[in-house]
Amino acid sequence: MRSRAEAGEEGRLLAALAAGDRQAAERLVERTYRGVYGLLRRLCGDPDLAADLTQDTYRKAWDALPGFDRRSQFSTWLFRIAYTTFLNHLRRPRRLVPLEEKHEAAVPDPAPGADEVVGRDAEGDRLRRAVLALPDDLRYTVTAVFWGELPVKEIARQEGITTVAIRKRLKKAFRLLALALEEDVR
Amino acid sequence: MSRWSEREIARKLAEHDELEPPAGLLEKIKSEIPPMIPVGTGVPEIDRRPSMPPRQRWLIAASMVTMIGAGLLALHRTEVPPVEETVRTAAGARQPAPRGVILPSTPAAPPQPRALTQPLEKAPEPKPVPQREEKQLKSLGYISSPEGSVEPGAPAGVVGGVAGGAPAGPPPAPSLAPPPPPPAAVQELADKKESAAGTLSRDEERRSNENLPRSTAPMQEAAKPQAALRAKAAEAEPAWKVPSAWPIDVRGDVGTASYTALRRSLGEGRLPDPAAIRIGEILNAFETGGAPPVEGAPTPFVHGPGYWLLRIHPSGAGPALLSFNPVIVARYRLVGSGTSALYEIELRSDAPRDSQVATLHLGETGRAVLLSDLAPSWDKASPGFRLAALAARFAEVIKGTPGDLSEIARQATAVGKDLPNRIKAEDLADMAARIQRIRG
Repeated sequence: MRSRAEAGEEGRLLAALAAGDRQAAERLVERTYRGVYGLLRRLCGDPDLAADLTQDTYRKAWDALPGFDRRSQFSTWLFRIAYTTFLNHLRRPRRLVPLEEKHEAAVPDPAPGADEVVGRDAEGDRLRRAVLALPDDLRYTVTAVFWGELPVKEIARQEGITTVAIRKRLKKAFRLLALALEEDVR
Repeated sequence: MSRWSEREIARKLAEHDELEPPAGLLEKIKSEIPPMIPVGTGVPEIDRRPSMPPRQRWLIAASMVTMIGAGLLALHRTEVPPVEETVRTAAGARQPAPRGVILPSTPAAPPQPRALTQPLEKAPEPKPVPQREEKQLKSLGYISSPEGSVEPGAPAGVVGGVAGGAPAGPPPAPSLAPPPPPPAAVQELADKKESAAGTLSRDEERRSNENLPRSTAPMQEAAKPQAALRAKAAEAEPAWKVPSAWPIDVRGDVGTASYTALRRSLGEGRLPDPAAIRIGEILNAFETGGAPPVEGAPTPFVHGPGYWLLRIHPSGAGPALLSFNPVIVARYRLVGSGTSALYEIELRSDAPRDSQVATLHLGETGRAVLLSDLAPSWDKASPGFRLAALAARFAEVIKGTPGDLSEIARQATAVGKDLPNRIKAEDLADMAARIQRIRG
């Protein structure tokens, strides 16, 4: 949960950035990159992809900063960019790999074996897939609250709805997730 | 019964493994930070009330309408007595007449509204703001007091004469913070509240608007006469301010009404009313065209190094905001703002030549204003800039700042030689000389 002091610190860093202080940008990155990476890691489940998407997020953020109207906190705004970056990645057409190239890939993969991963993370992965299959508004709310660790009040302000509506969304999302996970088990 | 209860799902979602970012990611992100990042110019967070859901807004609006309606109704009922009561009161005021005698009917006096029958009450004295709160408010730019607006230890007498002109002697103390008017003057001003409100400088009003949160706008309207008094007292010399994180809107007066009024009064052989002169409008009248967005040079009007004039000329209709770099700029004051804004700044003594003085946001783009972008000396500044600076100085002298009008006239004539069209420069020189003559 972000404190008022942290929000104030973000405001001060943004003001310093506006005055041309580049170190303020570095401080903002230091404060936020773990959260952005954590969110993307939970969304995509792949550490390398999450790192790439984190870099993409900041590139987009610097470009979009002139349009940042401060209706929400900087970290909330950054979270939204990270979330959109991930969705855009999902929608991007995949590169087709030639069949021969696929067969030639005989390099041993240092990652844990499939059985091991499935055994350890099967439940978490099912939950992740179920979250990604939620309708957009519910998916955003769930990821913002649990994976982005944003305050409910802040999400409500960004979405332009009440905190009660956010809680209703969460309740509905839990119901849908329970159904999806049950079906998955069967 | 589902194995996945809502609580279980919430617990599972809230579970956090240690998701440590890979080594080197932070450096990679930092290395991609662009050298210049313009930041959005939205309203600062502290200045803004949290947004409210529309339904709540409607409920509050409906409650307020009901309360106001009920209040008005209650007021109406208490102020206008019922008909029977009025008749009874009127009848009771007369002596009972003997039977058979018919008295001429005297109309009952119409009930006076309570507010009009009571003497005007003095407004309660405002509670003194606790020192800590006052300090905080000042730091946020919400309030500015005469003593707070000047940096402690600032050199006095920065507005002596024109450099190279007649020596101004000991520097005049009131140049930075105008002294409070004597009680008689205050009384006189209080008597002229209405007229003062009418002549409130638009520059001053805009500046006070900038420094107030939005929610205080109605209160500000109510306190306009007091604001007018303060503005009138401080109008002679705009206050110096310490740079803060809040960007300043550089757009100002449009039109040249002050110039026209000045010309008219000089034509009639009398001095203009200082309160009727707006520096921004005088600046507009002496605009030569083709000015770059940012221009500056060391000021010739003060004694001592470190004082510069900075002119911002925003083109286009978008927002034009300026934020001074507090590391380099010790303090600043708005000389006047019309279609271009003229600021006087005092640089810190150790400011290097390549340092960034300010950041200027024009529309959605921002640019750094470097000290090296400005002219290294007054003589090397463009003639258009010098004419604008002289015109602003001329207006300040008319409004009461000590200064040498003959030197302004001489400098304006010199600038005219560098301009393709010298009419405006000669006009300024002529007006300065005429005011000098009228003043004797």
